[in-house]
Amino acid sequence: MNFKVEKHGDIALVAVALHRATLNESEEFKKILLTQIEGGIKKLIVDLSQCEFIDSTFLGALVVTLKKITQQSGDLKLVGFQPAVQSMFELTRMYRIFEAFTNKNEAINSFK
Amino acid sequence: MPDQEKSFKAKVLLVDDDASLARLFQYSLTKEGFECITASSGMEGFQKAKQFLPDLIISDIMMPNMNGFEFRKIVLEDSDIQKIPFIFLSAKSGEDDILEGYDLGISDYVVKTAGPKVLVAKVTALLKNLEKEREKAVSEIHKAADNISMKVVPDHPPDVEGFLLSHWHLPFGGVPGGDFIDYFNIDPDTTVIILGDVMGKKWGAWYFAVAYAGYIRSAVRVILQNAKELSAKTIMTEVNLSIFHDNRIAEVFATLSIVMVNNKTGIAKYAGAGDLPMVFFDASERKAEFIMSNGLLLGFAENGDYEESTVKMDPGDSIYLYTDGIIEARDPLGNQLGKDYLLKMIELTPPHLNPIDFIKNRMNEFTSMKYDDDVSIIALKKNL
Repeated sequence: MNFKVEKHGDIALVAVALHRATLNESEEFKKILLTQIEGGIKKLIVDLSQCEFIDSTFLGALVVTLKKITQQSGDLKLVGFQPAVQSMFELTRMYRIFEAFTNKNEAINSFK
Repeated sequence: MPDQEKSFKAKVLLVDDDASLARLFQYSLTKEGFECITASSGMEGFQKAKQFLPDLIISDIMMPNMNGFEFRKIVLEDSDIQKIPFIFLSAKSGEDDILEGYDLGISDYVVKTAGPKVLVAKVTALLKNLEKEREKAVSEIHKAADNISMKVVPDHPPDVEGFLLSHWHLPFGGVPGGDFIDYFNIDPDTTVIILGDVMGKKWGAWYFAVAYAGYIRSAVRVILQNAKELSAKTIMTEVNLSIFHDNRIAEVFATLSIVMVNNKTGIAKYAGAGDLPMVFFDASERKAEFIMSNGLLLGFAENGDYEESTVKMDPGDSIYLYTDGIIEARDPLGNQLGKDYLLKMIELTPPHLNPIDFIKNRMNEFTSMKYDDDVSIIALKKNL
């Protein structure tokens, strides 16, 4: 399936298994993230290492979730930017609102 | 199927465990101009339907593990794909089988012995009707948008003395979408140019994007009328504050670019919120470069940290605002146009041409006129 959720203690890690993450999958993605927050998760990591491209709708789902989780004193961190995704985050200054890491262990440790 | 090829190439998903028969029907459908994807089981069919969102699903009934009826049932349970027209293609020709199929809300039932020609004829007729219905819906949407006076893009940019101001906007699927453009002449010397992109709202929720665009435009108008000292930065800061404090739209985010240009001094001031960087073309060097803005998406934080960049435009110089539909446009092989290609197109624009005409032609060549998002670009060029 497109999304895989792993738990590491009180951290939920959602891996996006898509080369192109777009509006077609963004609703499902948003639901998965919000379900985690509603279940009490305050530490979320999204692994984008398989994504060669994410469109603005998919990015919108990340932004909405980040806003929700920070209102509850939680955080959403990102892992594994491929070059095109990295470039998009730089161009739109998203790196200023999301903390990003190169691998998931770094992201997990950053919550400890 | 020439009528359909003009507007789009319809995608058909064919689910059949019999590989040779699937190939035969795929060949016939492809030959008629359809894009045909195949799957060899109900589960694979379900995954491919979710992934490709076809215009039509054709499925066999007798398949191992998950038969066609079971496949149809899981499709009906999934809100993303339940509305896609569905045809059963089966060797089963008994009355009960056909009626069981129709009980599952299918569009048609074709017996395999009828052969590929009959299938192709039925598919063509069905998709033609759908295209007609879609065109009708699109035209109603246009009418509705016109009626509530909320055009997302003005028909023509205003005249700016000493400059050529032009834009190109191609809404995704021909329907007003997430991109919006606005212009304000705030005094005889000063023009404000606005380009925004409502994130995540494609034509499924066109009314939402149109309403949101209208909201931002009203906010800008109120600020223009009331602010004592106007700058791109103050407009952006004020718009962001009013959106941030409005709970009704707390889950909507937009990028926004604002340029304020003085046609006497040639000074253009630019502020951006999560937008793609403005391009400045220096005619004397024939070089295009990105001018980065630094603000956060509109509505994300109370303090968006909006700053302003200034460029002085000399004769022949130009600036460009654009949305992600431009640099994310793809060629038929799936390669993205990219930001460097955008700079190159701008640098290659012949000085005597309207840059928008040149870029539009180059982009249409690159994409073969197939776009998968709203496309918007605004150019402001100082006359030679």
